[in-house]
Amino acid sequence: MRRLITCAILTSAAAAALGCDGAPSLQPAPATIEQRYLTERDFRRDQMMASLAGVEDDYARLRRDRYASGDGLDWDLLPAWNPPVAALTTADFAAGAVVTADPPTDRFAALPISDAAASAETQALRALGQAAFFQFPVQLLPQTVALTSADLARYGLWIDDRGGVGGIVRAQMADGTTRLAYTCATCHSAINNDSSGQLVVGLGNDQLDLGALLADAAAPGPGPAASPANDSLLALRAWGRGRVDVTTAAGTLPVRLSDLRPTRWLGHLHYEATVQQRNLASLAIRLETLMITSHGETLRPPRAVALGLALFLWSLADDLPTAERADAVAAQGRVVLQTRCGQCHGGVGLTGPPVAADVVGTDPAAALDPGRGRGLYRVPSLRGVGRRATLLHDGSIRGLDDFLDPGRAQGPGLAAGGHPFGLDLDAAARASLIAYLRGL
Amino acid sequence: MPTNRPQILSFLFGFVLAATAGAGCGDVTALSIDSGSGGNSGDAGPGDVSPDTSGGGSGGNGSGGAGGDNGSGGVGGSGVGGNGTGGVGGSGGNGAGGAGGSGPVPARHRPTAVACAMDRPAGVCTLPATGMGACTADSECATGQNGRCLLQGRVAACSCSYDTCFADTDCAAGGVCSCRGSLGLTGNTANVCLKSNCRVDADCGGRYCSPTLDFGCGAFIGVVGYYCHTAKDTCLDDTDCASQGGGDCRYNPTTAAWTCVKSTCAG
Repeated sequence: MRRLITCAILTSAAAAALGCDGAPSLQPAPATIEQRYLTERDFRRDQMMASLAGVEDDYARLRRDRYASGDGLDWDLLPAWNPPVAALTTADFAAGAVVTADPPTDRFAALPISDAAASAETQALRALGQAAFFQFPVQLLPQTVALTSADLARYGLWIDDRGGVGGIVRAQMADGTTRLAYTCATCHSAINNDSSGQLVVGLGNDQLDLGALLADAAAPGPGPAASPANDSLLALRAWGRGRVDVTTAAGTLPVRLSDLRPTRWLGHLHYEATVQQRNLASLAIRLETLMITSHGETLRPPRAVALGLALFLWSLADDLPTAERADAVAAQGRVVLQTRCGQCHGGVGLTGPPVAADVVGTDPAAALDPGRGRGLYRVPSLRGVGRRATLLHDGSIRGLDDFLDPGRAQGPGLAAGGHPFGLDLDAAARASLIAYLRGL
Repeated sequence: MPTNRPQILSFLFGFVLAATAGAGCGDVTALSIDSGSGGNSGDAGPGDVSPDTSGGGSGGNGSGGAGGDNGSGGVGGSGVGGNGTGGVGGSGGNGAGGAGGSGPVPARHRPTAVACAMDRPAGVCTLPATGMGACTADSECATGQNGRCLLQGRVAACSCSYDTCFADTDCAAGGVCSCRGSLGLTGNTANVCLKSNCRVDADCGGRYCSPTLDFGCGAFIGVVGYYCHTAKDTCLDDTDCASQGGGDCRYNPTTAAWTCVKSTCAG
């Protein structure tokens, strides 16, 4: 009896190295991807290497040199950074206040990383990721930024129903000062374009004019005079709403703020398809290295934060409408999609392998840029496309009607904006396809 | 300096050029976060190279050897990287005043405070007057000092611009008064107070007080503050960044140290 109890304990623990009476050993439960990402440097290194597309763009080269490299340049050696932060709220803008980095309150708090999250418990990690999405400082805003309530609309900073403002936080710095910073939510959340006014978490913020915000903060004086500085300002102002350049320092390659909700289904990350998303670790590493580089390679986020963010992003797909449609017109549109678009936009995510830039016919500049480009563009997931205000990697076409308008195919060469596919649909097919896509 | 950002060099001007590039300051490309790398012995000391052009002088230019090895005309070890103690002071710089630091001398630093000119060119603006502070002539800009009606700000319109300082002492909390034209922007800019943790080199405990571009996305133009170099720095000048993946050398408040940074936006 005593032996049986002992064996039962060993069995239930699932951690025993030895069995009873010479029985085959009970192996420890295999570590999950989450656990391995958090604890095994070699695993992270292998995952990172496998996720790179195998080309010598700057993005890949830097990560090969620095990520879990095991030498003196290893980003693992950077300190983990989880600064005390305080999210801006509408109260900060009361009575005509001008909001700067200087802290008006003592409500700073670092993200709480629980033991459960640190040990890779899924729910705890996802909760941490959700908090980090709105609070972790991904990048500092210019030191000179000063915002009034009128600026919120000017720059397209959203206000949610809980009084949050644009995902902007104050963060305490190592030198004792405070800086404004933006979070994932600044660029990747937007107010719903229906009448609800709800914040759609993960949707690219088509109203955000980050270029104008940066240019205004950088330009205290006259602007139009010709100079390199003013050229730089012009590049920033040319971004327009819903676009940001994340590749060049000159600011000349703005792309659309992406919709993160279908991330789980994407085979590749970045518009240029630079990173293969093989599993959750691929995404966590992509997020971790994003935050390392955005802080000048001087610190890294706690890995639980990066992993939590990855889990949270994956969870956003759960809230997207189903691809099934009951009404007749949309159902017909689904058939059109499958027959005419399914070669690229297939599977549950309505996405597929990358396509050569010259095939899709959109502006090839980003795909050919040495920063990340390899001549390809990722095929976007069409899940959630109905809420995207602009389309294509550079946001050059506004809405589905314009996208499928055969009129834009007029003129020499490719259709204006590229992606000529679907422009030859007859009116009925086009209408049903649009009806279907709007519901996604 | 990345080739696609040649403008940065042109933004940073008006500061002391204590040494010509590469000469005198030695090789600081092997800097690390955790330990001082000292410097290369045998290099010409800063005192041998370009004199101070501001007249302020940087009397304490270091000339010590590697890792605290005094003498031999090398680069002082204490300026960057931490533990070196080299830096025999006092050999460089023309002019009087200006308590300099020891160790390698950054190309841009502030040995002495600079008073701004009191005069200001007349404003020119021909666009319609709209928005806050709108104006059509300088005479309408009378609520501050040296008011000028200029095309400026967030919308294309004429509005009043005022000098907010003429000397560092006009700035609160140890700020530095940045004079007209010193931000890298052409035109009739106002004198403005910048954030800082130093006003002159002497505030930096043997190191140097240097101007910095902003740290972060879109910090494309303009000096935003003055900060002491520290033992934790991984760069002294922009030239150090070529071997660190590019970018330029800026003060980083997240680590309270100078590091190479590229100003691309996260994404």
